[in-house]
Amino acid sequence: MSRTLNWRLAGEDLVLHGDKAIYYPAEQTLLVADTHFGKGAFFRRKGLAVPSGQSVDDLQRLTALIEQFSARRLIVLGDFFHHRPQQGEPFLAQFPEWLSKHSALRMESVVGNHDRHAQGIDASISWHPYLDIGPFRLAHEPNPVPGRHVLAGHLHPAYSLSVSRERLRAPVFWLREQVTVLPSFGTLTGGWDVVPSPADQLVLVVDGELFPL
Amino acid sequence: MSMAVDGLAAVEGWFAERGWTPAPFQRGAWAAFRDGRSGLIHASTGSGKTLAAWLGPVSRALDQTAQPAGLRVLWITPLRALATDTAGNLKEAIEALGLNWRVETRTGDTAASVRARQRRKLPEALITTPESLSVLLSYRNAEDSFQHLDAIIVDEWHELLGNKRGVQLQLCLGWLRARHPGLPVWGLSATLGNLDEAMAVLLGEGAEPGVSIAGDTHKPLTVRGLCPPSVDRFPWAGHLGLTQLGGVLAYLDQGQTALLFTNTRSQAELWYEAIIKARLDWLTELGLHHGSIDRTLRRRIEDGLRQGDFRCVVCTSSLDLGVDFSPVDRVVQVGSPKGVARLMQRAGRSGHQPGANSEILCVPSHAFELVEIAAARRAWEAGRVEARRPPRLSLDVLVQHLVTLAAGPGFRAEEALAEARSTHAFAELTEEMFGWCLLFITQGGPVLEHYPQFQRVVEQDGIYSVEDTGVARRHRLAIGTITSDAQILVRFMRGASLGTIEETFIARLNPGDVFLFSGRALELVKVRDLVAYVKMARTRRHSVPRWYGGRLPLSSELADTVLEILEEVQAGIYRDEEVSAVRPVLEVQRDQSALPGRSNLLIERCRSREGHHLFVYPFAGRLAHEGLASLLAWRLGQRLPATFSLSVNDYGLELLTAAALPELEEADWRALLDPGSLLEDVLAALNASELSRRQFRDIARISGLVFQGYPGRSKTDRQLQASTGLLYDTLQRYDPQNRLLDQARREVLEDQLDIRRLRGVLQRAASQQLVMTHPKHFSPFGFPLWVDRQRGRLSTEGWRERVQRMLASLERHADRQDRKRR
Repeated sequence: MSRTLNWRLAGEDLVLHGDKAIYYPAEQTLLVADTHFGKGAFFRRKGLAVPSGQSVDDLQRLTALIEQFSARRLIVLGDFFHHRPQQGEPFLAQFPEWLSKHSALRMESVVGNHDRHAQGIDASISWHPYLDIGPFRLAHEPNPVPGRHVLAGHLHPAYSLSVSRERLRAPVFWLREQVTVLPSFGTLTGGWDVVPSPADQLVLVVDGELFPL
Repeated sequence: MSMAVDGLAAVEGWFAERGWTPAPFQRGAWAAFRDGRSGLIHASTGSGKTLAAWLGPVSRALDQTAQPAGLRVLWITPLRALATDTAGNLKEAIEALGLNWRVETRTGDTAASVRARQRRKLPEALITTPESLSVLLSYRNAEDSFQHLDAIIVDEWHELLGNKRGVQLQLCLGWLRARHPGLPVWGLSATLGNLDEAMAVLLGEGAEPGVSIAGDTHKPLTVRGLCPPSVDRFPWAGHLGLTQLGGVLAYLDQGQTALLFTNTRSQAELWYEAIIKARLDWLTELGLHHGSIDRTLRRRIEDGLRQGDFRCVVCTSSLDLGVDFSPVDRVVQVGSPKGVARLMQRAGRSGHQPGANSEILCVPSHAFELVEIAAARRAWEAGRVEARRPPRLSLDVLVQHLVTLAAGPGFRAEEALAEARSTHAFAELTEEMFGWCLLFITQGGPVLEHYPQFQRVVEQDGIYSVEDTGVARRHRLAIGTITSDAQILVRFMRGASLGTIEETFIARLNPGDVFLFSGRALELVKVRDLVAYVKMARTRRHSVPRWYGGRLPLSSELADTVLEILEEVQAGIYRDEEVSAVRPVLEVQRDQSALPGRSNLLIERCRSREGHHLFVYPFAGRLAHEGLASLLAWRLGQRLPATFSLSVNDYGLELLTAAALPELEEADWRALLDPGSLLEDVLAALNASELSRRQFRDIARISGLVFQGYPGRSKTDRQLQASTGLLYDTLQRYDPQNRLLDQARREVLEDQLDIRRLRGVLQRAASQQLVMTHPKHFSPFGFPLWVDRQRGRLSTEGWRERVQRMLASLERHADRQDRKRR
């Protein structure tokens, strides 16, 4: 149990982080999935009283991760946006300001299913259908690709630990033979219970700490 | 248009024609209604309450020459399944009396075409639920719809009094009363411990005193416990009591039609399966009825019951209410009924044949429940019936109601405040609270910057209304206060649907797994879009869904009667057959430890390989014991470094610690049980925020903070899903002053921990003698607690410790498996 965990995957050294991120030292690249920026605003527009503030906090979490690892490249594995942001939405002002503070950072994102609504929104980031880096395929949906290890999001994996009637549900890194699914990064995102097969490995994220199962 | 006649004479004439005589309470109710009074009619089921309430307004209408078109009588029922039957009964009477009224129902089941017609014009008599009434208020023309209303009748009011559905109804009644001053409102109720309060809540604040009308006097009733031949071989906490199947079958054999009540849906499934196995020839005459079973199947069973097609129907509280099933001549209750009122209500389902008495056979799920059964009989005979406490200041319901009105005719702040304050639930609503609710629905919260672009209710020229049609549509779909986990439809691969089941249960199954549902062993094939596709299973190995809820704590009335019986046992007196049957167990308890009573509190201490066990037996019900156990553990933890595992049941609680525990003298216990600083200590003791987080689920749904999905929802609706736990955390962090958070904390104390009863336990303990014993082994009272141990949630243990302990426990389990394999 700790905040970071070294993990060897497809012959490469990676670092799993308790703030739901993976750092790839050889490429100085930080990976997160499913940030769902603007989810709170979408809710508010639809009449659900969710207070704002999560996107600022999530950007701060990204800052902390970038600084901790001195990352030079940040890649979001899809669902960067929750929904098409609208004029006047706080995030549209916050994000350029955040980017300007990280001028050395290469900011990219894979297109997720939620991002399709946001086409044409200029967020000053490079979009990719997918990205190949080292032995990895970075994608949104966790479908296996021959000859590559897939790092993906989309599922918001979570796991329920239950021991003698006590139950604890937490996000997980779901590490499978050919595919690794990251937990969702956004504060306002939920989870989907994974059903691991015996060969899979799970790393539970509780309160920023990692617990390999 | 009907001719004017003397309405009351017509009613009397109709009774005489059929060879009936109106009961005095029926005549009393008609007269009171005709005097323009409001009131409450309380009587047992099947005694003629319906006609007592209905024929008042009907007789008045018969008096009149001209009948204004539109709604005249609004009939509220808590159960939509009841609506159709009630409609039939009401129609029968007015047809015979020649009153040309339309009687219609409007519930969640009503066809869209009928609902659309009703939106334009309501029938003269409408039978509806509190939720559907709210929906009627959410249409723009709501005020016109109720223009000619003469009377409101609330059926089974006792079922609504103690919950938020009742609060919702109170608010609707407040709105209607403000538009129709002096409108008669009548409630129908079963026996309750607080009938006066029940009437006052129904009629609202500052109303003229109502008329309380008592129906038939005490109906003769036999309560009998099924005593096993020997209590030694009895499973202590194995539950289900299926070992008693033989005795139950013998009892069923004597009758024509039986209802077998269980306390949970899982038990119903298991009993149904067991009876089928034992009586294959009953296959077509055995039914299963519970809240998750498909509506049409349930309906078929209800109709069959009425026609006497069934030998036995296994059911849950789903058949507690409802029309009379006259053929029923046997009622069986499996497990403790936990309360006197509930037992009587169930018993009352039998004996509707002329001259028959009601009788109920109670099947204990463990031996000591025999004492509860005897206690229930005595409490009934002494007229000790539970009260239902009406909730106060449920702001989530008020918020929902305000949005309902805003979506409908719109409202002015001062009028809505006055209407809310005219209800019992919001009599103490402050301007400040109301102001918060207005801010919540218009701008999200008091701090505008926290909720940019929020859009729900808009104020213009003093009128609050909903402008966005999407908001209004989603609000109507979400009206109501009955919240449950996300439901999944269970259906065969090709064909019939079997009912609904909690998503959390299905989520734990893999395709190919077999589970028992709707009386069948089903194999899960796949889950798609909130539908679980199944096929009949070949194997019989299966799991039984565990449905949540329905675990009621033992009522105070019943618990105190149990203590009264134990005091007699202490004195060697055995007055009840059921108590005599457990005599050996009670004697072991007395000899090895002691028997608790009303004037003494029993505290046991004993050692095992696990550590030190402390057992305390206040007999205050599971909920209060949960709070007390945490409180004691926390107070002990202040004195010595120890963590405790907690276990509770309806009789008492257990604290277990591996740490060396010093001897505790009477003075120590007095300090531990001190009622002073109870609230502060309980909040400190419990992981209050974790509990509130869970409680918040319902509040978030009712107040419209989340939008719940349903099958066939649109894509936008799907993207509006968020877990209420996340929302709770978000509010805690970004809007900690949100009053709904405060309400969650309050509800945890009141509903989950039963703080009122907990305080009562401590106050009583101050004057009780403390009997401290040191049994060598677990006493008969302690043993079930030990068996049933649930790991408590103690705040001394943080997240990290908790996860590590759980992981360690999994490790050990895996090691054991490995060793076994080798």
